[in-house]
Amino acid sequence: MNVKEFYGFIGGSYDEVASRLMKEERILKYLNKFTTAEDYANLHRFLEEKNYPEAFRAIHSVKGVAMNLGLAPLFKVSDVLCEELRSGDEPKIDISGMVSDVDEAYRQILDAIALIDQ
Amino acid sequence: MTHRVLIVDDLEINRDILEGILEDDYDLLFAENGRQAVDIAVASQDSLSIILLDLMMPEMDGFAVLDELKARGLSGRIPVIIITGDTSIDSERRCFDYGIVDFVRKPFNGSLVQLRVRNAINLYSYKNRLEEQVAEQTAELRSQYLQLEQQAERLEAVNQKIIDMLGYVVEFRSLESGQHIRRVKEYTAIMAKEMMANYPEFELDEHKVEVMVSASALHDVGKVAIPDSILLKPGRFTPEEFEEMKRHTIAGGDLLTSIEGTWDEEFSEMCYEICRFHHERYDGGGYPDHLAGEEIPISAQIVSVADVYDALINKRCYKDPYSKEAAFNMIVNGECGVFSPKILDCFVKARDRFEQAADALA
Repeated sequence: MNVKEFYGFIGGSYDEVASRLMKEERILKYLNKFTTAEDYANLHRFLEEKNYPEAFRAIHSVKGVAMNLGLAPLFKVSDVLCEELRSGDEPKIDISGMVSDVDEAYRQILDAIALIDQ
Repeated sequence: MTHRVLIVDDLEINRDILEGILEDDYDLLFAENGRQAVDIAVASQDSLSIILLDLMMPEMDGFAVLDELKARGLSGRIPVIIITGDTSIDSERRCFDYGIVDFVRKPFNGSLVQLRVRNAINLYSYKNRLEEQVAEQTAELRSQYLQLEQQAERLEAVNQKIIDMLGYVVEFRSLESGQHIRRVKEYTAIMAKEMMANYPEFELDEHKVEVMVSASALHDVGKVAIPDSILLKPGRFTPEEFEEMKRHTIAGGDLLTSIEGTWDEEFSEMCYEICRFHHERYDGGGYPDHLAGEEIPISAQIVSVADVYDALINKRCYKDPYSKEAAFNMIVNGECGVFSPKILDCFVKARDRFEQAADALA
């Protein structure tokens, strides 16, 4: 599928992303880059180390990229986790469900990106 | 000229997105954190047209950058647009309190960001140009004012020289050295300051004293109208000659009236009073108008005692000098005509200063 179809597939808005990134090559460049995003890996590492300020920074970046690339489902779940970690303190509630929501959305997007005709 | 834009964001994708939006129209600089942003802003402050600033950044966040820009006096000159994922109203308000020009939320629309950047740059170049113009014009006015002030000072100095010269002309004709005028001015200053300190009813102030001292140079200017045969006569005058000599007071007053309009009113008036009335005496025994008491202007009373004192202690073609002590006693005892009690009071109080001035200017 092409980039436009990709957005239809994941439930994002191609037009909105295009108005921001201006060029389709740039959209593609960042979708490709997304597959190797360090931030996502960092998120898990910092959560394991209970380094909550850094974990917040990582999810904040994931959320930012998701927003900029119009990856609506990922944006929605990372936003929830992001707010939970914003204080930098250890969360008072169990966040494992939120984290697995993010994992799930992330995996779905990776799978969809793999289907784009390069 | 291509404007320079500094893009500050810790995420590469965000910097890239803004680059894509703005690269065709602007020269772009990038910073990955607040510290870099401040360094670049300071280094390129003269060429930087705008800063696009993210709030949430490691090392130094957007608010800290705004603080630094403010502290370095750059916030008024370089516009800042905040571009942030932070959606809280509080953050937005806080940013506007720092004087930012615009606040854009992510995700944003590319063409709107282009327009906002363009507007802010136009607004600020207009504002900065106006401020420069005002500063230039202020500097220009200031230098013109200084020039005028210098010219006024020069005019004042030239004026004073001309006044003194008029006085010297008369003195040289009387075959005197020119020192009489200098001494009378000095004694007038001493007396006038003493009167100012002791008798507020005469309403003397520093300015009036200055005018009086300056005008005292002309007290005998009317002597230009007196023939040499009388002016230079050794020994005593006949009654007719004395009448002729007295005319110098009236002639001086007339002379000053005839050059009216040259000097300001205050100065002209004081010159006239001094010329015409410096031989009047407190009991009405002087000349030419036989004024008595405080009818005699205070300027004339003051210059009168200064003139008499100097005439007594110096040699004249008609007399030898008296000692300072003798001169003092003659004035206080009324041997040179009657002075007002207030004038004599001040003359007595200022005796030392009179004698010091007499020695200094001898």
